[in-house]
Amino acid sequence: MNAMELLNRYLEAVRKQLPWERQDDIVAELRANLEAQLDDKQEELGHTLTAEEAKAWVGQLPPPAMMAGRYRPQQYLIGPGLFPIYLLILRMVTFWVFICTAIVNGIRLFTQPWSAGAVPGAIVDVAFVVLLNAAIITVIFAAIEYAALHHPEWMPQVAELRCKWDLKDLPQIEPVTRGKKRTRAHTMIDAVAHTLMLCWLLLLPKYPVLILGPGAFIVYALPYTLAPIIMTFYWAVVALNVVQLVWKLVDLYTGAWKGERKLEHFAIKLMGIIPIVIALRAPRKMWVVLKNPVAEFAKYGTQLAQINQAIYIGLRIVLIIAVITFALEVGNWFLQSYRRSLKSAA
Amino acid sequence: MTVAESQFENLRLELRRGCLTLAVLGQLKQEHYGYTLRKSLAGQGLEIDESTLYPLLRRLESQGLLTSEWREEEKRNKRFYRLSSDGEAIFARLLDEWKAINAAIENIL
Repeated sequence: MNAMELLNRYLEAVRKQLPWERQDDIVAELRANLEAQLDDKQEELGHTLTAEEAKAWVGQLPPPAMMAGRYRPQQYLIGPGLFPIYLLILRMVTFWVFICTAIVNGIRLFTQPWSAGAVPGAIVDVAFVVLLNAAIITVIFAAIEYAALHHPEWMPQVAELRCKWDLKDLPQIEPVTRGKKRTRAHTMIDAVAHTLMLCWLLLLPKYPVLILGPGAFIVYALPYTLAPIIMTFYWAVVALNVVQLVWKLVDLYTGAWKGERKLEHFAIKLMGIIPIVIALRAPRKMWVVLKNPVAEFAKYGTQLAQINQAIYIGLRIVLIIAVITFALEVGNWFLQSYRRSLKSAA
Repeated sequence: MTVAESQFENLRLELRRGCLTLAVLGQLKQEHYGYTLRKSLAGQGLEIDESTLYPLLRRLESQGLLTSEWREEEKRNKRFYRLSSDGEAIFARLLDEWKAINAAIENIL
C-alpha cells in the first residue's frame, strides 16, 4: 500500500470523528498540509516512499481520534483522547438499548390488553431507559477521564490512549458509487422485469400454484379459504404495481430516469402502506374463513380464530415497520439535504 | 508513566500552551499555510505537533485573531493564514506581557 492510499485512509479515519458540518473543510486543509509534508519527505529521501516507509510515516502522525478531537469544542468532562471512544460506545449502547427496549415494549403492547395510555407509556419507557443508559455511560467515562488525568498510574492504558494507535485500525476507502449514473438500458430492463412481475401477479388468482407451488393442492384440500378482503388487498397491490410501472414508463419516455427520483421513491413507499391498511380493515378481523362454516365451525373454529389472530398481529407489525421505515427514510433525506445546504452555503 | 512524570508533563503542556499561541501569532505576521508555518516554527526551534497546530489555527481564526483564504499554490488548494488587525493589537499586548513575565522570571531565578 503506497503513502497516498494510507494517507487517504488516515484522513477518512479523522473525518469520521469530526463534526459533520466542518468535515470537508478540515479534511481538505489537513490533506493539503500532509501532502506537502509527504512531498518534502520524498524530496529529502530522493524517492517515492516504499510501503514500509509509508507505514512508518503515517504511523508517526497523531492518532486520528486525537487529531479529530482537537477540532471539537473543548469537552469538559471527557477529554479528546477518550471522547471518540466514549462517543462510539454511547452510540452503540444507546442504539441497542433502544432496539431491545422498543422490541420488549412492542411485544408488551401486543400481548397485554389494549388501553389508551399504552402507546405513550411505552414511548416514555423507551426514552427513559435510553437516557438512563446514556447517563450511566457518561458518568463512567467522566470518572475514567478524571482518574486517568489525576492518577495515571491507576490506568496506564487510558493515559497512553493519547499517543498510541495502529495503522490496522484505519478504515478502508470504499469506491464512490453514489455518483454512478443509471443508464437507459438499466431502466428498460427494470421496466421489462416489472411488466413480467405484474403479469405473474395477475395470473395468481387463477393459478395459485405460481406462488404456492405443489402446496397449492394441499391448500385446496384444507377446510379454509380466503376472505373477500384478501381480494381487495390483492387488487390494491396490483394497482400499486401498475402505478409504479406507468411511472417508470413515463420516466423512460421523458428522460426523468436520469435524475435522483426521490419524490417517486417516497410516493411509492407511502402508497405501499395503503394495501396493509386495507388488509387491516378486514370485517370482524377475518382474513381466513371456513369453506363450510355451518358444518365445520365446531371442529375448526378455534384454529380459525388463532390463524386470524396471528395474521392480525403480523399485519400490525408490518404496518408499524413500514411506517417507521418510511419516517426514517424521509427524516434521513431531510437531514442529508439540510447538511448539504449548510455545506454549500459555507 | 509515573506520578512525577505525569505531573511534569501536565505542567510542561500548560507552560507551552500560551507560548505556542504567541509564537504562532508572531509568525503569522507573514502569510503561511499550515505546513510551512509548522516548518518555519520548527526551523526556529519550536516543534509543534500537527494535532496541536492545525486546530489551534482554526481556534485563533474563530476568535478573530487570524484571517484565512483558500488559494491554489503548486497545483494544490491550500488555506493561508495571516494575522488580522485585531490579532495584531492582541499580539502586541501579549508580547509586552510575555516580556514582562520573562524579565520577572529572570529576576526571580
